Amino acid sequence: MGPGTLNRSYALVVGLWLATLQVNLFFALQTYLSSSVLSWTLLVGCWLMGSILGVRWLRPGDSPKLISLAFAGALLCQFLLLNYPYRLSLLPLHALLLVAVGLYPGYFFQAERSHFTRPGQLFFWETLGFVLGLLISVPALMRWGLRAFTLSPYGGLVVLAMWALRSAYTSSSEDCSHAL
Amino acid sequence: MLLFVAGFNLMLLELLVIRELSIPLFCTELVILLVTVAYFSGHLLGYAVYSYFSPAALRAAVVGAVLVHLPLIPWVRLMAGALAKAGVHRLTLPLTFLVVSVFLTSLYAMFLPLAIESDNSPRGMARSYTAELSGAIAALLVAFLLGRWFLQGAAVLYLVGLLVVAWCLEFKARNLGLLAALALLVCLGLPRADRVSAEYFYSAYYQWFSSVKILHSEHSPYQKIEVLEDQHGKRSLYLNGLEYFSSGDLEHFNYFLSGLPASLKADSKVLVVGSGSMSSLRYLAPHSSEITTVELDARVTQVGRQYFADFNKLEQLQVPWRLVIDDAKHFLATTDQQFDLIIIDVPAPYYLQTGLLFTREFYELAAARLNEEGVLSAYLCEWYEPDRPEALSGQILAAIEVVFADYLVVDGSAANLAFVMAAKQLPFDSKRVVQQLRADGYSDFQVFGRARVQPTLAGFEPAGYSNLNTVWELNRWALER
Repeated sequence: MGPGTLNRSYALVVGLWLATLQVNLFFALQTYLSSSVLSWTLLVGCWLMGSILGVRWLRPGDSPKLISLAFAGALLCQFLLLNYPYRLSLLPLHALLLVAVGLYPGYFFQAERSHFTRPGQLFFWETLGFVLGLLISVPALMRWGLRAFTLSPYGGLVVLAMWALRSAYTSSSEDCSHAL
Repeated sequence: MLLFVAGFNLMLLELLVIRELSIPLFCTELVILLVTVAYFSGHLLGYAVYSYFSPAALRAAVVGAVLVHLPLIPWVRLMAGALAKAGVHRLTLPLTFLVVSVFLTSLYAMFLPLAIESDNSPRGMARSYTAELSGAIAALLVAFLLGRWFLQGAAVLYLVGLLVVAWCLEFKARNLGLLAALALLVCLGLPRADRVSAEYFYSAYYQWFSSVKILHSEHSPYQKIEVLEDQHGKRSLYLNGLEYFSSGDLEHFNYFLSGLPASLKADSKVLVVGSGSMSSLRYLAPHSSEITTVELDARVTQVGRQYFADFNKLEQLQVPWRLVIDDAKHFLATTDQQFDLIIIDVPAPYYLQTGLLFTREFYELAAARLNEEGVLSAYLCEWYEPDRPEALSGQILAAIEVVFADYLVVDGSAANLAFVMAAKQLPFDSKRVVQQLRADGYSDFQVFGRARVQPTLAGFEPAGYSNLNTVWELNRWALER
């Protein structure tokens, strides 16, 4: 497997995870907090705000930390929703957590830009993953509801593993090329 | 500027077009998903082909966008209506998918990678992507502020956005003027095209209409609300293109769901969950001491009051009535009031959100708000087969079985549906129900007690937050029909 394939696969997996996370988090927020449009708009806005912060102010090199932050943010959101349902007073906290989760989706594009010769390729593979994530997660919610939701943050572990695999491969390739 | 507007228009399209284009396809969760996938497939196409587009080709695409994007909504309705008339309505979904994925979002998707490539600095991605995301946030804010005027406001803003895109792409002043004139024509023609195409679609798609007049149409933040009047002057309320209330045939629905339990439990303090059309109130009022309606969408209630006033006769209500605008789950979980009768009058589980209101957890929330002898009334979304219930009613009844110790299923052929009345211990028995039904003029019905129903539920997993198979079943049925 070449580095190009690894980069594309990584973008695909990230897109897939982000779609799964987004669909499941918004479903759970509407289930356990409120279906009102105010909370929906606020929460979508927070995710996008997080993405802006991520792409604008964070510098490449922090991928594992930010994936972990998104993973932890989603888990904490899940914990709060399941244990303290229908508490609109927690809305600001959920909003803050969604900003934290949204950091990585924004940061991802800035960090991955150098791995692709053309930016369109990066967007293409991430969006393809996103579309696949939508196609998987909505029917999964229909069949298994909250069981699917509880599993969704753990996709972050797959993303972390993919990132580590690619880093190991890239550094070993670099070692080989140095040796040559 | 270009990317900000691209993000703005993309978000407007997402909010407006996905819902609008789902309606002619029989708007369910799966249909919305497929239209959303088509929307993002347009992005994929844009990312795949942007490098082949010259500035002149991009400019031509913008002209195409002015002509195609918003008029696409009436065109798809006309196509869906014509295909339904020709008996090949199944073709509507793949054709819509194709049109949306090729023509709708691909143009905007090209701008971001092109901008990043032209700004070759290390922060080029950050700058460009921030601009696009900011546009998306601005559109969200605008949509929220526009409220019920979203449909009209969004169309104007969208076309203005396209003109800004044209300006950014350095259209010559004369061409920009022509494009603005074209956009103005589209803008002026759109309301009429919107109404005519919607009326054509409804009369072609639903066989019970020979002609239809749209009396009211708007987008609330939650759904598209339309009031239709048929050839006989009968009015119906449609939510996202699906019939929610009709002043004719759905009267039986209101009787079985609201009138019957209310007359069996006289002088009740009643909670109605849903029923934005307010149509259940006239059935409840004669038997209730107090009524509270909780409804998520304030606009549905206002439209219900405006267009169904003759039917609902709200001004003649002799009982105290209170309207609460809230999410039903949130209301039930946080109110400290108790009720004698709770009516679950919500749309069928075509969507995940409505599917949640046919679950064990939701019935538990409702049960906690019932007095000792309080009764819950709900519908089962289909007929009840006494020997072997179908998947939908089986799972809903299994959820009722978990929460309530006593219940009765009433299968009313006049309403084309089965209903359930449940309680810790019902204050009436099946004999009393039969008596009441006969007294109210019904003869074709069946009543089943828990002892008869419970053994038939073996093998059904109760509908719950972790089993939304009811939504799946209903969506599958809708796709197959």
